Amino acid sequence: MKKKRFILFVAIIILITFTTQNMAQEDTDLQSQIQKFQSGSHQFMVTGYALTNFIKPQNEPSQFETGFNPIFLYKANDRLFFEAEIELEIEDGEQNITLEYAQILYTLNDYLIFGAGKFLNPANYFIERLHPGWINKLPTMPMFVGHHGGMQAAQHLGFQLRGGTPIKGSKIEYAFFMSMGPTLDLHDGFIDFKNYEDNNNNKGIGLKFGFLPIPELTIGYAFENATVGEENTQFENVSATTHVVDFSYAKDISGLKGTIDLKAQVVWLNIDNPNIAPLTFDNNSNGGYAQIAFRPGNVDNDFFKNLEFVYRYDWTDKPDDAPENELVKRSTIGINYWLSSSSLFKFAYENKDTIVPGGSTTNEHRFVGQIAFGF
Amino acid sequence: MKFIKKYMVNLILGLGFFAVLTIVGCASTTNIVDRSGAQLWGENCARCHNIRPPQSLTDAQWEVAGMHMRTRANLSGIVTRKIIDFLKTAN
Ligand code: HEC
Repeated sequence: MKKKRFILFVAIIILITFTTQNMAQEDTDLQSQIQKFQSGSHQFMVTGYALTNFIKPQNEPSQFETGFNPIFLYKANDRLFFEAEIELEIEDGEQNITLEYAQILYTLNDYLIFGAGKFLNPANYFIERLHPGWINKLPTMPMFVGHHGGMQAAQHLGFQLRGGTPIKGSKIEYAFFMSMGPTLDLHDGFIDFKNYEDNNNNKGIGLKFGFLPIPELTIGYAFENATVGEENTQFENVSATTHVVDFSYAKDISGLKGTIDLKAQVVWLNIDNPNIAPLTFDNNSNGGYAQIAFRPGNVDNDFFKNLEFVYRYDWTDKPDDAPENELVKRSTIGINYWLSSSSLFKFAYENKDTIVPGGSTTNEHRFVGQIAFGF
Repeated sequence: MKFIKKYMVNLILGLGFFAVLTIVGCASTTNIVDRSGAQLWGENCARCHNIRPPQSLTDAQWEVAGMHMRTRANLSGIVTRKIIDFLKTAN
């Protein structure tokens, strides 16, 4: 009996020793695996942002909207990079999933990067650089920027070459791109920017220049041109040309104990007039916005330093003789409360006037609240 | 025609403005490439959004986010490397 117990005891000891050794072995395996992963040259990161809106229009039921935008970043080495963003949202009574961008980037040298895929429009400063919920200082976007219809493409499908070069104390930045370009919509004479299947062989092109004389100031100009008419139709030579100017200034001003942020962008869109029904009018539109924000971030009071005050004016002006001719002007005031460097509450009130031919004006106002979080 | 005229006026005004700014730019102090990573970080990373604290990401994550921002903000290679090196020492 005793012998049996002794054998059992020895067996257990052996088993324990063996398994703990095994565990130690696994431990070092795991460690070496982690080390291998850490010292590996490939790097992957998931980031993105989320937001929820509350909207109370003047004479309509109030609504909640929500959205979540995961961003996937993959760095293979110092030259090869991949970025993609998916937009998942419940908005305007619908649930949408869209590929916001997906682009393979290859760094050619210190001053030039090649990218191909679906990318944010370099000629559209607001969309490319300011639209994510935690960056945009108001819960809404300017009407013309085209995130959901507008006067400028939000994204392009094609390729781009871009970069920046410091020149002494200043800097220039540039982008050239070629893409499917928009298509002509014969119903309203306007163009449709969501072009996943081109109607002609002519590809759209675009150029963007930015100049930063001092780091806090950027002045930009962009040009886009594309044939928009369908091949082998009377409209095949109709093209659309866009000119854009943009402006950005952000500076800490010690006298004001805070940061002033000024942004503006104006777009002029000209679509050829082929003088063939239904397109028999001068097809020129314009739109734009100007925005000022102030955050007293350097005051001592913990509450006030997280507040931010914003005002934006934006408009869209469609051609006088177009079927859907209207001039829309909107003013928005907002107060934000920052929870961290990339999360905030926004409270905004907007007042919109729509002026149709003949001069009659409709006025609408609404309240929009939002919480946004960039991670 | 009205459109073209309006555009020309804007273009001339724009070019004039550019000329003034070029003079201002060239007169400004140190060359960008001679500035420290910390200074470049302060100058470049608060233009579009609030500055993100260095502590918020690991070294490896800053390398990835840094490359992402390089494209987004059209930073040159040398400026990006200096900023990433700074972020990796400050996190
Ligand atoms: C030109 C505007 C702009 C500038 C300048 C800029 N950012 Fe960003 N940043 C963005 C946008 C836009 C996003 C949101 C990501 C997106 O939409 O792809 C972002 C996202 C981020 C994120 C979240 C992670 C990620 O990669 O998406 C970090 C961290 C960040 N920026 C850090 C920086 C740093 C550090 C700098 C200075 C080198 C910088 N940013 C300069 C526009 C800018």
